[in-house]
Amino acid sequence: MSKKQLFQLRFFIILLFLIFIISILSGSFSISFSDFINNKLKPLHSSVLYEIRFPRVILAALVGASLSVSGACLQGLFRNPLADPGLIGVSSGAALGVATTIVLTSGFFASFSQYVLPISGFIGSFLTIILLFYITKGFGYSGMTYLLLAGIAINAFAGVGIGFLTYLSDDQELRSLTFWTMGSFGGALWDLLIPALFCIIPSLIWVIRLSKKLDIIQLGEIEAQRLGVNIKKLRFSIIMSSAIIVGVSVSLSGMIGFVGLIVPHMIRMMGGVQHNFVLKSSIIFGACLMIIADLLSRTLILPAELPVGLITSAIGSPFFLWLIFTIRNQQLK
Amino acid sequence: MSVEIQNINYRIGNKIILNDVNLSIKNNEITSIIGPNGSGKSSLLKIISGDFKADSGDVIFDDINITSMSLLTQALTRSVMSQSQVVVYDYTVKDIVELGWISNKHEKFEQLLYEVCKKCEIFDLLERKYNSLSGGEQRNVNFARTLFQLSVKDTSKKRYFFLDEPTENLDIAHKIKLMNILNTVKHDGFGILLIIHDLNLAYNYSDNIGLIKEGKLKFFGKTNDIMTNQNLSYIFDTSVEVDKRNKIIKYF
Repeated sequence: MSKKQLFQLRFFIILLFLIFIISILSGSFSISFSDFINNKLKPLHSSVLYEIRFPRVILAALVGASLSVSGACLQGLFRNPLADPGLIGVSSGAALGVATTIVLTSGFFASFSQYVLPISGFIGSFLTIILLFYITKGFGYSGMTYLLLAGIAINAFAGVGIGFLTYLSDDQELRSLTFWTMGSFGGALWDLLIPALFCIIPSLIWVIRLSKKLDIIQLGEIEAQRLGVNIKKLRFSIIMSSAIIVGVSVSLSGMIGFVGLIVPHMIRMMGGVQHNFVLKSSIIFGACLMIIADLLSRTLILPAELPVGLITSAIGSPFFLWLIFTIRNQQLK
Repeated sequence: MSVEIQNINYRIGNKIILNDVNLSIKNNEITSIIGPNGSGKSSLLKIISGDFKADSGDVIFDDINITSMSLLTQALTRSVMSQSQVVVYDYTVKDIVELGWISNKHEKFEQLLYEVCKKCEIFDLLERKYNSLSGGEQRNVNFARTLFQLSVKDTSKKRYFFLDEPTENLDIAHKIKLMNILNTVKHDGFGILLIIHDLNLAYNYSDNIGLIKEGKLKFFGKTNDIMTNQNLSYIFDTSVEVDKRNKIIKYF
């Protein structure tokens, strides 16, 4: 990592820390910073802080980091700047799992416990990955095109299932389905968050260790093999870890678009394309962006809440356009 | 020490691509393969490089069969320069050259990088984006990267360098420069295999030449013995004239 990149990464880390503090203290009723620092919180305030805000903000950070880093990994692996976590079908698998549970059990199980929907989402995404693994013979086909096409086919197939279930659903079911597909961190609970952390953090470390190989594969699969990289193993590692990261995140928060596609590009434009930098920065910056999006989603139209997926696109796209055009101007000079 | 290619057969579907090819690539020598388009040159290079396996036959690096070498050992023993190199994201030239370094960085890294860049004269390009370079400049950068890959291993071991039409798209000055670098590299103990279309370059720089046609290696031996009017005219089905005194080949 160059000095400039190291500086940027440190800046993102400080930014994440500040945004985290601001975000846990603000909301439908705000908590004063000095009370928090001096540990003089009223019981109500402290229960809001520790039982609601903390898990919620941590979940937002985790999901932002997950989507961004898996976007960066898949864009690197497929050597395609348009790749995003949705491409390998995990998100739609999770959506199909959730839709099945909501509609086919008429919301019976969902009202039974808060854990049912996340778990069915996780099962859905897990089954999708097994299916993809099976039909691509362990991601073994040479050339990425087949894998991408298989992912697209699985997406379309899951789309059929979701569409069919939507058609069958009644008003109440449709409402919870829609809410889920637009994404929310409202359901964050420590009980769900802790196992998620245990799945996601090792996967993040796993992919960061692959960053040099992701750089080498930019030369092409055959070139990478000539440089001693085992392509099949790399493909397996990247797709599996992305699937775990995204599957767990989506199960807990619903579908949140745009972040996985855009954050890696923002990072590349700001600091460079080497994967060691891109992956680490995507984790931190993706977390920042998602915490801000969640903060806006729960404060903009108090006391109601906006779906966070709307906010990520609303603040992400203008910022992204601005970046594209400033970078372009710099290059033209 | 050498790479021995023995009885290689390779077919795609019913089409025979390579038919019982035998040759050897010796250290301290440049071996060139010449032949018309579609004669199987590139497939041969890919099989020797270990990209894919032949249907039958062996590729043996200094008494070790390539099938029993790990990918990393292969990468430390030989490097391969392909015809072109597409990179999607905006890596700098320095990033690309450094990718050739497949070992851990140690104290000699900077010095060896400096030497390779000096040899290939790409110092001015190092901070530029690879994608902003011209085709010829990109070729030079890839040449530097593949050369750098061979600096990793300690120099006591034998190493091999395979190049697929490295001089294509280069201007005459750069062609000569690249061939001269290969000539110095060869004296460092490398065994070099070239696939080349430029008959004059092949004639003047190679120690051995193989002529390939329709998947069969028709002639293989010392440059002077192989480069004759009859042989070349037969291989290309067109009249070729070899001027042995001035070392020039005319074909129109």
